[in-house]
Amino acid sequence: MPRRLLIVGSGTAGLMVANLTARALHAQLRRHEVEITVVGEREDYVYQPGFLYVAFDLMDPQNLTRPVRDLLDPGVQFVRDRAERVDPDAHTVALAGGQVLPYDYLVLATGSQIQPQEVPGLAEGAHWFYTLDGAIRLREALQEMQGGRVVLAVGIPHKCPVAPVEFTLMLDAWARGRGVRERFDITYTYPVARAHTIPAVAEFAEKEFARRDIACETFFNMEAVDPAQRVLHSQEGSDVPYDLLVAVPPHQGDALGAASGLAGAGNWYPTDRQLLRVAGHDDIFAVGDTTDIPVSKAGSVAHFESEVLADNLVGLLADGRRPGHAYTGRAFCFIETGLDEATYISFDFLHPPTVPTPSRSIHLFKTTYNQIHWANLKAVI
Amino acid sequence: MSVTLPAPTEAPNLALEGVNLANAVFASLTPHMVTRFGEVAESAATALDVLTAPEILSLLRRTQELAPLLEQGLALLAAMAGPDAGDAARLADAAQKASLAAAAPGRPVGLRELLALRREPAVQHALRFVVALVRNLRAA
Repeated sequence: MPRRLLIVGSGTAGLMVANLTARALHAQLRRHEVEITVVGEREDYVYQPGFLYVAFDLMDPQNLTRPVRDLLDPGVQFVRDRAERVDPDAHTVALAGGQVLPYDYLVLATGSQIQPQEVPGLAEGAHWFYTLDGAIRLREALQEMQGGRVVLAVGIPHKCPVAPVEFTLMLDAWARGRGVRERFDITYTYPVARAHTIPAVAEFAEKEFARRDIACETFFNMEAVDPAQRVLHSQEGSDVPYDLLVAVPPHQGDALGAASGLAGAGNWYPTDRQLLRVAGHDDIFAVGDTTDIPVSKAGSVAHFESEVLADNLVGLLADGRRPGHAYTGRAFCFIETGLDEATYISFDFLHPPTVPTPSRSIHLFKTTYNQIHWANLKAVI
Repeated sequence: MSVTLPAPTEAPNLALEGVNLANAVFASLTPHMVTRFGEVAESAATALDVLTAPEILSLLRRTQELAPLLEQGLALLAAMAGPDAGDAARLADAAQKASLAAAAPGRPVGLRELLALRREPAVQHALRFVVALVRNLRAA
């Protein structure tokens, strides 16, 4: 009987775990000693960091998607369906289509989704760049805009932690590039007492905002949006009028967690931050956005976590070896600071980041990575 | 309030840009990426060794000389396969028939030379190198 690895989720983390494990266990896969199956709802994978670039017409939406099957190791099975319930006692996952898939080891890589309905009026009144459709709509709105008041508002938690700062700085550069910056009034709002939860990013952002005449209002938690009057209301009592509202909606984990009785608040899985095991289960792991680990929800985190998890799964599947690789909280995030300059932050559980001086070469590094990240997904590099 | 940013007064410092970029690249590399880059570099070095080996160059020259015979052999196989020359199974069957025919008296002249090629030391040496190359590239 083959040892079965079942991965729910065909996003960044799901694909990387599948491909890294398959690459290391090719021989066992060929001999049918191991089976690896990925369950995903969508036929296509979408490169989410590209949405920000779509909004500014810097990337073609068509270049952001590829069929999941093309990105998976040939030794991995792909089942296109929605997972509805995990039964940890029976070691099975029930799918919407009726199939019940058994597992010896289960990886939950179901990501996070925006929940605009959590803020009344947000869906009707705001744009966002957290879905492909949303980014395309925002691109069209920006292209029609000759000036006015643009307000950015953030709900937490959300994935891609520095994206609000990136969007704001890119908007400033975009308007300058069109020669219309004087006609725009840009306001950045943030829910906590500084411009970002990461202190170094907050310090960097506050200086840049001041330098570029971008208003910054902190302690601003979205309460409701009046789409007719075009006013954003905060829990703290501020009322901010806008011509264009760009929001980062609050996020939640996938409903599978709640349906299975495995997830906690926000539908995030309570997860051991080093071994990535779901609390109380030796054979269930969580990776990427879907965990409750106190680390940014970011593609790089999914990547670093996936390598650790894959190494541990290889040991378990090959010879039952106890997991010995630990995730250190490592993350790496680019920060676009305009349309041709960028910086980055790199940190882990023990070492907070600093923000280097932005440069063109970092921007080129990021845009190059936008084109070649598929190689990471496929575990080629 | 003016929103005009001051123009940069200095040309970009290329050395500093290089250091910035190197730091960013090192910070972004994962352990597996480092391993994979090492494996790919090793395979590329091996491939280069193999491709520049004197035996390979000798094989290429020999192949050029034997091109007409190879062509005759392939044409014979295609003729035996009939209209479905593209069908791999029929071609394999035809190859087997050709092999049997080669062992029998009155066999076609071109096929004898083709079959004798297998025993050429240079061909055997080159085939071993190709197998090693494929093995290393697969690991890459």
